[in-house]
Amino acid sequence: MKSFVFRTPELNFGNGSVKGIGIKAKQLGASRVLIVTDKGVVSAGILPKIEQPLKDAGIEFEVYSEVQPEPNLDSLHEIVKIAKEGDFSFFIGVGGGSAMDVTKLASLMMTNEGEVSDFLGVEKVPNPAAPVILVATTSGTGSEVTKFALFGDDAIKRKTAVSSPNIMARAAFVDPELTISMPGHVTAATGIDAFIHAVEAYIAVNRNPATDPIALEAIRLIAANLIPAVKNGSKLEARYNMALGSVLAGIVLNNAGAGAVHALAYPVAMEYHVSHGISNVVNFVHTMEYIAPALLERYANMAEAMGEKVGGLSQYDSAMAFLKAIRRLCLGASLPVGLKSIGVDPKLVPALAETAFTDTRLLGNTPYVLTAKDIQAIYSNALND
Amino acid sequence: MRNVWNFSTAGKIIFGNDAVQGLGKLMQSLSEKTALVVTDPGIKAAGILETALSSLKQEGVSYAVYDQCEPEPRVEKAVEAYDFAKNQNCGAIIGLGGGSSIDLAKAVAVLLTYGGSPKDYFGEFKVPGPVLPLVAIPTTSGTGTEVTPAAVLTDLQANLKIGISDNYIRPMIALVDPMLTVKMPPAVTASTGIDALTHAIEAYTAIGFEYLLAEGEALYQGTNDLTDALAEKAIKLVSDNLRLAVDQGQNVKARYNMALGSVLAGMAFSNAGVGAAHAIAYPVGAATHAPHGVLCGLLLPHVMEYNVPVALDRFVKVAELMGENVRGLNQFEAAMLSVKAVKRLIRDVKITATLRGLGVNEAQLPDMAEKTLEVGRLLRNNPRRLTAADIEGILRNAY
Ligand SMILES: NC(=O)c1ccc[n+]([C@@H]2O[C@H](COP(=O)([O-])OP(=O)(O)OC[C@H]3O[C@@H](n4cnc5c(N)ncnc54)[C@H](O)[C@@H]3O)[C@@H](O)[C@H]2O)c1
Ligand SMILES: [Fe+2]
Ligand SMILES: [Fe+2]
Repeated sequence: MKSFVFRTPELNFGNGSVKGIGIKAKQLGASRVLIVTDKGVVSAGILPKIEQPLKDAGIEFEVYSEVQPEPNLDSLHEIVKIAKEGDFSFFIGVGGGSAMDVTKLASLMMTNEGEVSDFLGVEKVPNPAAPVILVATTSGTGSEVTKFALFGDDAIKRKTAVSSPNIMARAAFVDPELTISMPGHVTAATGIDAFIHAVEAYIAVNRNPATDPIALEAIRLIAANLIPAVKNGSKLEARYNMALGSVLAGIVLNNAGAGAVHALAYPVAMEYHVSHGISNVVNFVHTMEYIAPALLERYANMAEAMGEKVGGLSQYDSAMAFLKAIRRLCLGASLPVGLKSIGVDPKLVPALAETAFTDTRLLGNTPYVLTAKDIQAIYSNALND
Repeated sequence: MRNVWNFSTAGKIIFGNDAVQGLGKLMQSLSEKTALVVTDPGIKAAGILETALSSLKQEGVSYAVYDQCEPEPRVEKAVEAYDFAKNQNCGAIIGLGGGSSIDLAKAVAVLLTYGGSPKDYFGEFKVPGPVLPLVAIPTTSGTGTEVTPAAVLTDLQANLKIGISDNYIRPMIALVDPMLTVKMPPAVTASTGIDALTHAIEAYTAIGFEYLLAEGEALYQGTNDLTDALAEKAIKLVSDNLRLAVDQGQNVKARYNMALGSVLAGMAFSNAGVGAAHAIAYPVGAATHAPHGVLCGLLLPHVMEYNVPVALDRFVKVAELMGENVRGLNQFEAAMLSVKAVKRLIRDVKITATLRGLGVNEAQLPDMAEKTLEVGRLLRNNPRRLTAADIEGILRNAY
């Protein structure tokens, strides 16, 4: 009988939902807004869909569009400076995890004294951040509904995170139509990230009875729609279901947390400069295989959610069906399932494993105790694939 | 066709056995001023108020207690509680009890924040903005009000239930402690538990959000994937645990699962909406003053039977979730098993199964049917259209 906390910000979902962003911003007390986004989003022609409703609601705004993918701290300092000098007290972050996470960090710097490094870790943000609305344009990170903000710290070559409910958005907008322009490889990398969130949350130590059904629904949606969204991106139905699956995955990520796959991904992402989704997927299948023995029942349930026929199978065989299904899903979306594809140097494995092993937050949430040796073994398995 | 849905819930749900022990710390973080506790004599007598207050005392939180709430509270009670609290320098409000106490706390929160009288806020979207921090601590497992945007009051003159509905009155914090429900009497456990079941089933079988007949913003918007996932889990939890909670009050596991089912059902129905069983319960409640859960339970199987033809697959799923064996049956037969399962559950927990049993006179039925049509905000969520004659048919079946 587990005790748990569950929270999720207000969500507005559906095709055309961003048309309501002006009214919502107004309800939340916005008058001058700084929109934070990146070049890709701008050139995809998404911004006017945000700007028009803001204009209609009589809200003043300016746009900062210099966020870098997998952001470091440079753009953050710029945004905070612009916001303070321009007297902006309300933010709208538009984009994938990169733009949304920087927005969250900027909003927290507005109301808390100190350096970003002071707020790293779990619940280290004393004051509620300045109000934020987040608009997701990828179907992946779920950042629009989470308390996490990640960034690369170039100085220490680490991916670090702020985790605090004080940086959650006041409202999230998920509009599948905004994701249509996403290129295939971004669709694949971000989509598998969402899938991994749902899977890791479903097996997490901190899972709870409220997150379980939502995670299974996310797994069902993404398993059935990732490949169509990647291979036939103009198909709105697949985009719609991916957007839905990823926000549900975000909700469970926020409340149950991620685990070993993410722990193994961060060192790889920093060292090889691959996107968050890619750094995860190259470790995903092998991590899941490694920890399978402890999780047969959970795997069997996920196999069923992925549409595998498990009736009549033993629990063990059902769990194996899950492992086969996730490999098929990744390959079908043209995603690599091993480290060779990104050119990882075998000699670096011990160092990567050492770094991954220090991520106690994520490893502690993994229902299988992994030693540094275990992690090396997983990386090695992934290298041979 | 509608394209957009909104999902909102309590700001934070804290769930777990003995969670109430954290109340003092929680209130400390919310406000330095006095905490107003809204509750009723029954909660006080059960010793639950004392448990909550001792946590407040421990942390040195100052408080004022209004303990005169009544079941299905009258509008006058909101005014009375507001008058009591007005000059106490209240910075936060705690609703402690069943749906009645929590709903009253919601109404008082609106009044303490914006003044005026309750009728200024009756209807949907009438609350001007955020209200004082509101913490809801349910002691029954039924209404789900700890996460919903509604506060229901009784207007005795008009003999009507009337309410404030607005996302601004969703509690900032739902503090759900299953241990507080352990001493709940069997009859209350049964009727409130059936209320939760009705929420879950009506939310799950509501009209799809695409097809809701409404313009613009709506609180109750029909089903979506998220409400479905929550409602399915809630149906299973209540169906598996209500009998145990009623017959083995001390069964902490069953109490835990009922509290969980109730809050998940609340998260689902407060976005997807409820349907005809709740709508019909309004006029029948006005006439009989029977507990809300009893009315819902009594009406639910008959409403389901009426709805089955337009939502076959959904009712098949309900049957499965309630443990029925649907293999080898055609869809209609399988769907009808959900009705049977609900009837059996209602019988097992000894809830009055007929309107006659509640003392309703057969001659009242047509009038009740007419009055149900006034609850359009709920009826529009029902998957199947209803005329007065259809409603009268349901009432006759339930008679
Ligand atoms: N906060 C969280 O909970 C959380 C969870 C997982 C990952 N992350 C972080 O999120 C970041 C990764 O975010 P991401 O995977 O969403 O990718 P991203 O934000 O880096 O975007 C990838 C690229 O796609 C472009 N793009 C985005 N939407 C588009 C659209 N609709 N049409 C055309 N182009 C579009 C962007 O311009 C960018 O160039 C990483 O920093 C990662 O660590 C955060
Ligand atoms: Fe991720
Ligand atoms: Fe109810």
